[in-house]
Parts: sequence; C-alpha cells; structure tokens
Amino acid sequence: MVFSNLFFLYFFLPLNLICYFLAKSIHVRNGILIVFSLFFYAWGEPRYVPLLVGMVLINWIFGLMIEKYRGQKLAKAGLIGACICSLTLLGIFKYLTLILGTTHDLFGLPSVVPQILLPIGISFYTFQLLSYVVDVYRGEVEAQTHFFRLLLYTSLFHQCIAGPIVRYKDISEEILYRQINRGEVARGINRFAAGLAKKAVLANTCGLLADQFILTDAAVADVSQFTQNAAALSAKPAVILWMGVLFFMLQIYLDFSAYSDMAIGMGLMIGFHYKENFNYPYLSSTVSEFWRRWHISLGSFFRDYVYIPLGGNRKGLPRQIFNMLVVWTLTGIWHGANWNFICWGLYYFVLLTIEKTFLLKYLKKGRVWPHIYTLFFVVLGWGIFTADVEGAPLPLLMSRLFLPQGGISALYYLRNYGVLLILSIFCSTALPGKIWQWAKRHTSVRLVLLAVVMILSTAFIVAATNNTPLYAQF
Amino acid sequence: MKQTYHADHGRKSRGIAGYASLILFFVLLFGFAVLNLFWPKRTLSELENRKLAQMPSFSWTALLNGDWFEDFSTYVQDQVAFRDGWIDLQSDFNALCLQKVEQNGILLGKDHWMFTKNFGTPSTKQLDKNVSAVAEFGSRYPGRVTFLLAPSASVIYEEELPLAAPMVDENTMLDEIFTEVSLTADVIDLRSVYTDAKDEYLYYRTDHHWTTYGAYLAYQQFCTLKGLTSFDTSAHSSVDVPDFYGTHYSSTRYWNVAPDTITYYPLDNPMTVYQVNGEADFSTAETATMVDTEKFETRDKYAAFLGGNNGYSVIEGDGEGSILVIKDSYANCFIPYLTANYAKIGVIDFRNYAFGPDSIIEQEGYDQILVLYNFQTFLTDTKVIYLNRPTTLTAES
Repeated sequence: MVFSNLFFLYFFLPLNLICYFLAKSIHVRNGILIVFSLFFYAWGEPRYVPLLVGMVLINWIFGLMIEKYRGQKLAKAGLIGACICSLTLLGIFKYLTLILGTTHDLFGLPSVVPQILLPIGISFYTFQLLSYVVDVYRGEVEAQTHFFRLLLYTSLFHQCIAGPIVRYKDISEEILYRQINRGEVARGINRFAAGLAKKAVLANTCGLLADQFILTDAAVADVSQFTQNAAALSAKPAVILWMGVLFFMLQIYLDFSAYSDMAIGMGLMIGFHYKENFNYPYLSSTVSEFWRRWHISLGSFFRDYVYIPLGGNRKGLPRQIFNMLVVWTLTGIWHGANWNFICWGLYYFVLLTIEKTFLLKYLKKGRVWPHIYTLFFVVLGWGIFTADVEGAPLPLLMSRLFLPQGGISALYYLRNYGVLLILSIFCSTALPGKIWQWAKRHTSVRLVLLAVVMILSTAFIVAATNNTPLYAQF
Repeated sequence: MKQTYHADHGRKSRGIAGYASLILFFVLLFGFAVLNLFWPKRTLSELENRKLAQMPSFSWTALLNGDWFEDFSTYVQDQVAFRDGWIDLQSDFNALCLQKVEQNGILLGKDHWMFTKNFGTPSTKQLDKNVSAVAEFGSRYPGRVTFLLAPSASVIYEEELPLAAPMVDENTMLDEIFTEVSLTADVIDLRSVYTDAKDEYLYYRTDHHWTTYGAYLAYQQFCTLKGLTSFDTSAHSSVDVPDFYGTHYSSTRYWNVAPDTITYYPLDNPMTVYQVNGEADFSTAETATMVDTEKFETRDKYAAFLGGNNGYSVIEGDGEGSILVIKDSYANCFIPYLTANYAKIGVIDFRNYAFGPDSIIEQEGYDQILVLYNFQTFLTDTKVIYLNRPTTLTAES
C-alpha cells in the first residue's frame, strides 16, 4: 500500500489511530501497530510477509548472541553471521536477476534467467536491521530481548517500505516509552498534510510529465516497446528532454521527501521521533553538500557503517579515494539492480573526488556559480538515473541532451506546465516552510490551510489513478 | 532549534485553539471515512461513461497473489463519496490555479473550444493500411465508391487552439490521403467548404462530433458530386435539444463550459436494426425511427442518432436506388439526409459487423457505396481494413 491511496487515508489510518488511542497500555498499542503494519506490508505483496518476519527473527537471534558473548569471538561471529544472512537475502531477492542476466548475456549461462519479483521495501528494512546488529555489536545500544519489539521497529508502516532508514538506537527507548503531547500531534498532522499535498498534487503530475517528455505516450503505457521508445527518443528535441529531466528531478525530490514528511508526521502523531531525511538538497552549493542534504538516512548509513570502518579519510588520500569508490558503488547499486544505477553512483564518485582533491576551495569562494554548477551536475545525474527504462538507453539519452536538434516546439509545454513548474520549484526551496512559520501563528489561517491541503490532495488522488512511489523498488 | 520551537509552540497554544488542528484533522479523516462507508454504491458513472468497479469477490488465490488488494483499491477509488465532485475540483484547480490548457488528452482552446489532442508525428502505420484499404476497395467497385473523410475541428479552427500547440500536420496528411484514394474512388474534401462557412456551427465544442449542420454541408457536397437534389431543410422543421455536454466535457470537466445544442429533423422513415448472426446473415432486432429521442434525456445525447453504432441496419428512404454507408459515428447524423435521395440506405459499422462487405453488397444489390469516417478515427481504427476481407461464404449460396 502507498500513503496516497484512498483506502489508506480514509480507512487504514483513521482506524489505526482510533484503535491506537483507545488502547491504554503501551504493550497493547505496540501490538496494534504490529498488526496494522503487517497488514500494510501484506497489501499487494502477501507472499513476502514471511520474508520480512524471518529476517527480523534472524537478526533478533544474532543480536541476542552478540549481547550474550560480548567481548568474545562469538560476538564477532554473530555479527558476521547476521550480515551474511541479511546481505545474502538482499542479494538473492534484489540482485540475482541482474547478475544472472549479465552472465547470461556474456557466457550464455544460465540459459533461462529466473525473474524474481522484488519484495517491496527490502532495501530499507535490510539496512535497518544491519544498523541494529552493528550498533549492538559496537555496544551503542542493548540488544532487544523481545522479538515483537524488534519486529515493531522493522515493520512499522510509517517507514518500512519507503524510508527513512530509521536507526534502532534512535528510537529504541520510544518503543516502550512514548510521550504524546498535542503540540507534537498537531505538528505531525501538519507535516503529514504537507507531505500528502507534495506527493498527490505536485509529484505525481511532475512524474507523468517526465515520462511524457522522455518517452513516448505509447511507451508510458507499455515500457516494453523498446524500438519505438528509442525511435521516439532520437526524435525528441534537446529542450524537451531537458524539461523531462528537470521534471524528473522535481518529481523524485517531491515524491521521496513527501514520503519522509508523511512518515515523520505519522511518527509524531504517536510519539516516535524519526530524524530528518531531506534538507532542501537543491539549494546546495557543492555536490558534497548535496549529498549531506539528500536522503540523509542513506548517506549517513554508508558513512557510519562502510566509509568510517574502512578508515574514512584517516589513512591517506589514496585510501580515502578507494573508500569513496566503495561507498559510491554501493550507493549506486542500492538504488536498483541495473547498470545505469552503478554508473550513477560512479558519476558521483568522480564528482566528489574532484571536489575533495581541489575544487572545493574554489567553490567556497563563489556565491552564485557554485549553485549553478551543483544543479547542473545534479540534473545530469538524474538523467543517468532515469535511463533504466527499456528503450531510453543512457548513451542515446546523453547524446540527445547535448546534440541540439529541432523538432516540436517547447513553447506549448512551457505555457501549459509553467505554473506547475514554478510551484514545484518553489516547493523544493525553504520558502514554503518560512511562510508556514508565519501562517501558523494565526489559528484561522492554519486551519484553512490544513483543510485546503487535505481536500485538494484528496481531489488529486481521486482524479488520478494511483502510482507507486519510485523508491519502493530500491 | 527544533526542540525550542515546539516547547514554544506548546506554551503559546492554549485552550481550544491548541486543539483546533487536531480536531479539524480527525473530523476530516474520520468524517469522510464514515461517510464513505455508507455512501451509496453505483454500477456506472454516466459522467465518465464507464462501469465502476464493484466489491471484488474473495478468493484465497487472488488474496495471496495480491490481485484482490489491487481490485479492492480500484473499488474504493471508484465508489468514493462525491467522486464526481472531487474530479471537478481537480479540473478546476488545474484550469484556474495551474492555468493548464489541457486535461486528460483534450485541449482547452479559446472561446470555449475543446479539441482532441493529437501532437507531434504520430505513427502512420495504421493510417497507411487504412488508406490502401479504401483505395483497393474503390478499385473493386469502379465508379460506385465515394470516400468522405471529415477533417478534425482543429484543422478548421486552428486559431482557437491553445498557444503554440504542436498539433500533427493534418493538412498535409489529408492531402496525401485524398491524392491516393482519388485514383480509384470519388473523394470529398470538406476543408474549403468548411473554411468558407467557419462562422457557422460546424462542430460541437464539448464533443468530438460534427453538428447536424456540419453534416449537412458535407451532404450537400455529396449531392453536388452525384448530381442529386439535396434534402430541403426549409421544408422540414427542426428540433433543438439544448444542454448537450459531450465527450470532451466528460474528459475535461472544464468549469467554464458552454453547453452545445443538438439539432435534428423528426422524420418518419423507418429504420430496421438487424441482429447480425453471421456474414450477410441477419434477423430483425427492432424497427424504429432514425432518432431515438429518449437518448436526449441522457448525457450521451449524440447516441440518439441511428440509435448508436449498430452493426447493420437499413433505412427506407423516399428516393430511388440504394446506397450502403460504411462508417464511424460521424455518419449517424449525416444519414437521415440521404432519405431524400435513396429508396434504401444500408449502414455498416465494422465495430459491430466483423465481415467483409462484398457479400452484403451483392446480396442486397447496393448501387452506391459511401465510406464515411472522420480523421481521428481513420488515423487509428484497426477495422477499416475489413473493407477487403474476403467473403467466408461458399459460392453456391
């Protein structure tokens, strides 16, 4: 299920909140959350519920083992066991098709590539569980003795399928002790409503446009039409393609951050505090800064569990560059089992290495050009990122972006989508937040805004067919 | 920073005002949830012109492979309370706040015009097949076939299109089509007549069809070509049916819509609609007049003409000889005029008659054949090629 689904909004969520607040004891409340979360996960993908529960079970057992044999060799064995189990399962369900597909293309083996359906959210909850066992091993948090409490942390519908990647140590105390006050509930409600509008009103429309501009109308309906897509793409003028990539850039931010907003908002409604996941990434003046503001929970995961353990920047420049290569290859591949995502990761590795080695000091002196530089390379990055669709191959897309050619005029599209474009850009900056800071002081303004946002979002959800968030595939 | 902010907020909001957003949110969420549960369920939406999803039947297989959940989501979406109102609201927001000039594939033009969106360079694979099909059909019936292809409204009223709309080059395509077909059949190109008469009411603005008057101008061209005396409109009184909101309106739900008016001539000529049992094999399903006035009470008013798109029907005219019309829905308001000139008018719509027409032409002895389509249908219709389907009947019958 996705949050911008009528059944979720006007049945699942209200029912969840009623049951939750009617229950008095924290244990019953947690039980209610687990039942609702498993139902949420089962929605559309019932077969993979045992996988989710099984992975929690494995990590729970290894967590206890690490705790029991703390300081001994068995603790390390527990950690290694947990990591191997989690990563193997992730590898089978997410990457096996790509690996076998590639060996099939190169060596003809195996003759038939098995098509494994990606379990929704697996990249998110595997990483949550990895952070749990590593933190237990490091002694940063105690192992959870109750299986169901660890299951609650992992499966909680707020963040299970689309992030943020919440660390166990950040909310371990809130599993049993949650304080709810109305200021926070109100803040959660507003945050949720803002996220919903970003998703339903802006992100979905931007997404449709991105598809329309980069692919053909026919291809939007059926991505398997490889040759037709490629032919249509070759005929697209560069301006239209740039608009397509720009709308994709807005979509992926608005969509993804909207999900984080809604998760954080729903957390606040019942007393969970999740860390921020986005901090206006498109306002960055360097690519390094962009990655400190974009999908923060993923960046910090790789920093804390890969980059720093490998030695970070403490072992000399060559080693640092090697560490970065590892981190960015992993970041790329985390986003999907496709070669264009690996290219995308390596693209950032190159950019960040250039910045780290010499460019950063010049960027710091500039005022305007660093922003232009950053946005240009980020937009181009999204161009690489979108090229995972059959028929929109990366080299073709890149050549079309940079070799200007005529074709249909972009004027109509600017006229038709101009306001949407401006509004979407506006909502990617900090300005709406600042306006809200002023508006919320007046109760009436606050209420009108809340009602308008909820009603408008509902209208957009009813009027459009639902589309699943992009990153549930990650 | 965040910490100080909510401590601050907690102190400021006291009394009922502090609970205001909570109350509002929960009232909206629960109120609508409850309303939704008890909202009457519909089987079809007249406005959207489609069946609405019903509660999916339960099965373990469907539940386990996830189909049931998907069907249930569609059901909730289709049966949501105030569904039509929500869609109107989204359309209003798009038009007024986002200033969009396109909604669900329909362009919102100037002066209340609505056009079918048809951008860029479409694939002409199907069109090429259709053009060759008509040309080949013409060569099999020399001197008897007339091909009337109505241009899109956007060709005649180009200046009413939204700014810089990159429409397909329909003019060039029409030129090529007429050039090819005219080698084997008579063709009627309405562009110059329509351009001269563009101040008249030629096309509906809220629907994708031509008007009864637009069809009349086309009919006059047909009469000129065939040397016939045309239906005398002054000798008949016409009836106007106001408040027609057509298919374009259903797609756009545009707030600032100007409804159309449908005109028809009440004629007594009986029309026999046949039930098609097989090739050139049919039995009478019903006999009626050409205009089903009951349909004017519904939303889909254009369906009143000829009672919709029947596979095969025959109309008794007041003239001489016979004609077979092979057509799309544009012909439905055109055919009544033909009663002035022919004694028997046969009508075939390939959407409901999946056979070649040769056997019917021979069996019923049609003298003339009119192939009547509009450009939009002709561009994509996959059934025009039935024109040359070989007969499946054996020689002795």
